Amino acid sequence: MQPAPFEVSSDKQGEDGKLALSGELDIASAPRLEEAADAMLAQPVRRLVIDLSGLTFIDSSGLRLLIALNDRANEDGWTLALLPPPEPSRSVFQITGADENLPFIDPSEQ
Amino acid sequence: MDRGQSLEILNVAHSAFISMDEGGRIVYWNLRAEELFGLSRASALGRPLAETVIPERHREAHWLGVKRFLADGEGPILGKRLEMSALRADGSEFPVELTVSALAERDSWSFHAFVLDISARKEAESERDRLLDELKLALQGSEQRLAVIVNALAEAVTIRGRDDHLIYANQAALDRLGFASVEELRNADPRALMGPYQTTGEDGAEIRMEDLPSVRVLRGEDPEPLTIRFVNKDTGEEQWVMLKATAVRDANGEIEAAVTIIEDVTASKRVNLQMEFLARASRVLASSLDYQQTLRNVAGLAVPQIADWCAVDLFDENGGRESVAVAHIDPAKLEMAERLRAFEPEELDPEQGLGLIKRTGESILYTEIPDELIVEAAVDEEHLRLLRAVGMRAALVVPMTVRGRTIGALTMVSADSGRSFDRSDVELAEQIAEVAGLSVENARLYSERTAVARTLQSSLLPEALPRIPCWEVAALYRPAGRDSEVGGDFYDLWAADGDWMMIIGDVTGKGVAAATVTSLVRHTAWAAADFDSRPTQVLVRIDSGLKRRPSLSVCSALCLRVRGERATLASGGHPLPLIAGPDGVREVGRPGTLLGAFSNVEWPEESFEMRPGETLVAITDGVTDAVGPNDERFGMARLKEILERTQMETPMVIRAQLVAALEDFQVGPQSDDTAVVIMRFTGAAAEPDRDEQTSRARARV
Repeated sequence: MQPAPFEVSSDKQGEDGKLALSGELDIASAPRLEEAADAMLAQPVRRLVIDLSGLTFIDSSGLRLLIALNDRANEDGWTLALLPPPEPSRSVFQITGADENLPFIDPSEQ
Repeated sequence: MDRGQSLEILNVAHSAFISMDEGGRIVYWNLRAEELFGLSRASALGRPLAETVIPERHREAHWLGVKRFLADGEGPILGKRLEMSALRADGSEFPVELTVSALAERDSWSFHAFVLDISARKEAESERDRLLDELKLALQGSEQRLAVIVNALAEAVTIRGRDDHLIYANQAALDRLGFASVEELRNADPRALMGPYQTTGEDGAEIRMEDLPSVRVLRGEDPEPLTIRFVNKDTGEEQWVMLKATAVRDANGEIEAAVTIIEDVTASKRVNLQMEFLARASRVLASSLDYQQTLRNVAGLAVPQIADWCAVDLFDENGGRESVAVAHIDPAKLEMAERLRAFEPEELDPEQGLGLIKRTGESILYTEIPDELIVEAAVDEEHLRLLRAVGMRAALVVPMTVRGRTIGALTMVSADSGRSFDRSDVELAEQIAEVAGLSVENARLYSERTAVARTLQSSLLPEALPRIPCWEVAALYRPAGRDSEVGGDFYDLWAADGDWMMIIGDVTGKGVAAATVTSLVRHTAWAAADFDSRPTQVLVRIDSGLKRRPSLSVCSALCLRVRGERATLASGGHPLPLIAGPDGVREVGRPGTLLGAFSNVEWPEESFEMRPGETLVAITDGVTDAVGPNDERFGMARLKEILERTQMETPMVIRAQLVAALEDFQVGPQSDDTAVVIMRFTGAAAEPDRDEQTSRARARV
């Protein structure tokens, strides 16, 4: 079995750090997103935008990481913004109420 | 074998060592690899391996090989020595020799390679071939020109005539064979030349004069180069040489003589043995978590290539020892070796042998074992007789050390093969002992972890399901692939004030941390239901309990209350259950917020009535997320299809069908825990017996 590879690409524009994800965000790949986020947050960043539009799958570990990042943002005084994932990964956010609690933004707002 | 273990093995490798994950990325790159490829570890890690070290023209073949292995488990190149071209960081290419092995690591594969730069060897080979061509021309010309060319060759060269006698040898060959002049050599009996040596091939079989390439060339054959191990019968010195012979023909095309080039390959042979051994040892380590079996395998690997006899002992805390493995080149001698070991005292003497090693942690090397030493070591006549019968030529004992503590020792003995040991053998034995030590430690840690995990897991699930009047119930719990970790899925069924409660959930995370949260969730659910059994209220309390924890603790859960045919449920971010009946399969309930995660929460409750023969099925996402062929997920559609097909069956049968379907579908190890609760409403019966109900409810964990 060769799982769809998970990729994170980092991009920094001014005070905006952007991480674009593709593939499957699960228990195996979540640590890689966490590393990428830590690396980005080590720089002077006021807003971290995570683009989920390339996600093919997300599990509870992936979701937990996004929740943890949002908690960190609230505590440390930076802003987290999420670009919504496509179906079917979107349903995970819907059945958990995460769509109403995590800071999703409209793709046009970025 | 986890990453830490592999890395420790690799630290002992003197060759370049690189590892790649299933996705083709470099995940390990040792110091020698930095030197060899001109690329630092920091730059190498995470890069695609193929684009970093494989020349473009070979990349496709590389990918096809990896894909084929991952798909069918076929890896024709694994464990073999390969020669190929490699790419340096500056774009230049150079020839390498490598041995690749694959390890199953957690739930994916990783690939490891020892890489050796063979530029020098390749250059020497092509230079030699060039000289050899000239030599053949020269043989038809003047004797003088021949001498010049032959002496230009660094390696020993001999020429064998039609009568099998050696008729010429350059200086290097004369030195090697121990002759003062070509004259003296010509008069020697060719059979006597091999007399002072024990000669064996790479497979350990004896090599006779008839097998020599030059002799076979004279018989009109076209032999492959032959690698022979020479052990001097007097000194025990070991040498590996490669013999390559070519025919010299006269003007009529008849074979006149055979030229042999004798190349000393002792150094590279030793490195290769070492590489092969380490590659095989990694596989042996990964193959079994039974450390006694692993040590027997490790001992077996050392024989016969490195020693004739290899033994492994473990020390205990009371100053004793346990003999765990003995391997001997000759199975008949194995029994003798074991009898011999029986003479060694169980109590270790700190001044000699194993006791000394245990005390100092230093290796001991006996390059020779004179009879006096044997007499001194013997405890009685019988022991002395046995020791002499073994015919020990040399021995070495190295410590097995784990984190600075000497836990055992590896003993290697050379006897029948007649070779002696030197420092390089001690170094190799030390590397083997390090691998063996790790395997013991890993096996011990693993079995402890598994035991802890099992105990913990069983405390998180009900011991037996209660019998609920008018309902039939079955449940399933399948922990993810590895059994040494506690999973995060749980379920429970219990009675609360005349109602029956069911909860199924998934705590994010693994191990002891997740187990602590699971335990909190279950206890909170029990206490909450005693106070107010409405599912929404149970979820409210679990949510606030989780939020009181200092670190983020997240859990999804579905809570169901049944009273006769009436059911009420609420979901805290958990997949909604399905109801299967004669009318088909439908989802019930409404989504609610994940527990412990958010400030903006809502847990809408839904009530409904079950009809006799209807079955409610609650799952965790391990079912729908199970991965099958082509990365496809099991999904809701497959689950619904199974429930439609089995809706008339009992919960036990439905469970069995679901397990079979999951096992059929799944490719590779199960990556997530799976829990399922199946509840079939059989129809209203007589008024339930309250007393019985309560007593059974208390029978839960």
